Amino acid sequence: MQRILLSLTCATLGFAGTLAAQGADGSSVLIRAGNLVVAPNEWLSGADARILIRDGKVAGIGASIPAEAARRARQINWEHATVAPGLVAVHDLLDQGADLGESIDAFTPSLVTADAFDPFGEELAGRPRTGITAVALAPTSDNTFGGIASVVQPGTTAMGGQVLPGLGYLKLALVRESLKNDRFPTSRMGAADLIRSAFRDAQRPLGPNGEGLSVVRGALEGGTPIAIHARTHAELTTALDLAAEFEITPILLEVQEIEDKTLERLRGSGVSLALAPLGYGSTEEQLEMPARLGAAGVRFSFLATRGTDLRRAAALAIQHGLDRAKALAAITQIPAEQIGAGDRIGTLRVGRNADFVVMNGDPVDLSSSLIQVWIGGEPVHVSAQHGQDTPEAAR
Amino acid sequence: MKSTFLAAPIALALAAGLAAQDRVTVFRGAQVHPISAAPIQNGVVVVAGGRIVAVGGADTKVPEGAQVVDCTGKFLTPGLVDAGTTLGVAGQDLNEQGEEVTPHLRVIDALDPTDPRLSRARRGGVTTVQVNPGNRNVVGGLGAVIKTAGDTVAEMLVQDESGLRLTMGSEPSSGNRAIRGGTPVGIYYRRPTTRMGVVWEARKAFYDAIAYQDQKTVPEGDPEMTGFDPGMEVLVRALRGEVTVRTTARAEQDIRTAIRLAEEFGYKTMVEEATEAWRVVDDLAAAGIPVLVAAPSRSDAPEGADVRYHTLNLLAKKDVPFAICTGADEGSLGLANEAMFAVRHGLPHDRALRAVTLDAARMIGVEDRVGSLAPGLEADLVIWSGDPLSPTSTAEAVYIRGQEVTP
Repeated sequence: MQRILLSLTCATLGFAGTLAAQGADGSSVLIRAGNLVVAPNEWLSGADARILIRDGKVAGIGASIPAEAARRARQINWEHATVAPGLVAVHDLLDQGADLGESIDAFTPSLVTADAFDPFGEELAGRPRTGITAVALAPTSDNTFGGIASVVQPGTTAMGGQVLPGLGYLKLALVRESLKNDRFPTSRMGAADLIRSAFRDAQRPLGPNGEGLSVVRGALEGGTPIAIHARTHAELTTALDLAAEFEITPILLEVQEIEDKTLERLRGSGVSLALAPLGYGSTEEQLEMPARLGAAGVRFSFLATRGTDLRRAAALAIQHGLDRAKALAAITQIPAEQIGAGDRIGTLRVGRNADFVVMNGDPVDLSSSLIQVWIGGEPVHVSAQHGQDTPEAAR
Repeated sequence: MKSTFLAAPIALALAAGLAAQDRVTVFRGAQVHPISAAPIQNGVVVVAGGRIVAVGGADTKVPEGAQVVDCTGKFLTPGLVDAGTTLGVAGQDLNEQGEEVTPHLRVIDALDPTDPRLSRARRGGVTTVQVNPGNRNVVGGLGAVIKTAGDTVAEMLVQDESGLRLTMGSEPSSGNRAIRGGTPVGIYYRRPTTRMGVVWEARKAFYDAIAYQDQKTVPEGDPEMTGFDPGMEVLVRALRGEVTVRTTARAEQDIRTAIRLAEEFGYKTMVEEATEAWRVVDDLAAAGIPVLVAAPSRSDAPEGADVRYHTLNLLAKKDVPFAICTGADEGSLGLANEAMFAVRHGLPHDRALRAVTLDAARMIGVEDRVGSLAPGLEADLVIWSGDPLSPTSTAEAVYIRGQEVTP
């Protein structure tokens, strides 16, 4: 296991239990599914819908799995089910908001949310029940430069959650709540100036207190993605102007309105979006926005903290003209790429983490339900409704 | 009326096979007010490639195949120019309260092209506006000149970093004192809390800029240098006369202070709002400082300044350069009506129209692009149902750079 274990004691206990259940030779698992969603536009079905898991990673898929390796692995048959990448939430506070906004100063780029992460938090533990296998724990939008969002994953009850190190993004905010009455900036004009000054200063020799600027520099040089919280058209305009000025390609969070001309600016700019969650109260304009973006080739994900809300957003977007594969990508592959984790999670290609959902249908079909959720090759959630479908019963 | 004519652009346009945006349009039959020249009855304005190529009488030569817009019985003027507004910027975005002196903040960072107030101004015949930061700081930041139509800031922009906002009077200090009792807390516990303090902050800012300039050892304007201060850079440019200091002053004492500070530091300035300019008109004339009167129709003004409706008339008589703007006041009647109001109180009709077109454009340094109708200028035109300064007239069609932008 390459993942960092936050609680060593608990981790040891957890592994001991797992190994006992698998037996001495049970280091790999072969799952046969009805459908295997390797990536949103790459489905395997029938005899090819097989996935081999070893050491918490995807070791093989489909016909390329060597016969010997397949034979020796522990066998699980889910031939009536669909195995798909776990859902990824691009922005989540995990009910820890009070710990994630150091708002005395608007410029706190070097704060890291992992330092406030509660591996045994109830919110985190609940995420897999809705299909989510990874979330970016983000700073709040109280600051213009909030800090670094860390990517965390729920774990088993005994192990608790864990941080996927080296991933995440630098979060900036232009939204109203980032402006305060009692400190700079109090206006969007001031916020834009703070961002411009920091971006400019970060490219010069850094002084003795340059640790915040060094984080900004890393982001400008492309090491860490940059996300900007920009809700209204006015905020979006400021964000896009700054992005063009400094030649960066940020993720724009919670965008709620896009004019046609703005869509033209987004097309081919490399800027990606995380759209405000869709619900039954969304306006027609909001409901049609994903299809417009999809047609324009602009990459986007959906914002939601629960997987049920992510699936609902995807389904509503499909209802309003979005391509099914793009809808699934918007809740799996794209958010994984946005948080810098595209080569580890979000798809089930060989070498990726074995994070997936097992469902009795298509994940973007709201009538399908979860059977199990696995993270790092281990089940972290087993549905009570589908209890008889556990691998033990199928074996 | 002898017509002026730029033959070359038309010949080029014809040679190029007349791409859609370069098509020649002829506005024929209107009473044309070029502003820079006498009105022309039954006039002709020829537009190509977003620019005016000819303005003249009915006999003006027009190319064959041009699209003709019949304006018989209408009035045609340049698009109106509002030299002082906050259009496009939400109220809470106008003032950065974190500091009192914020010279390098730029209002275009807070500009929203979809602000409905911009389209309202456009429907009223206004095509070019100066947008300013608010008045709550002593030094508020840099304004910008924009067109009232466009989908992005870049598309709308005419002149960035146009004018540095400096505010006299009590407004910058009003948040810093306990007006209703109690103790101010946090960032508001600071200077200035008085008129004296406001001027002290302004003076200190410019002295700091002089010191900054003297201490610099590296090539100027080089953001790579240590100690680079973007705010000081802006103030230095103001001291050199490269950026106009727009001094907001309403009461007599504040206008006098504005004149005194400009003489002390030698920067180029204009007095904005200028409610009590009628009291200091001789001083303004002597100093040669232009005056931008905001919403002359309003009956009361901040600072308890005494409003007199003959102010503009007096400025005209004493040869003080002036223009009319709507200002930050939401209660303004709209630019054309403000000019109309000035006429009602004695300002000659042609001066009033000039005060919202050519003179306003001069005030913000864009008179070589907009504000009048002459060959080579941008084709910002308004077709009015009647005299633009009549309350019964409306702007029936508005063109920016030759493109119709109505409604």
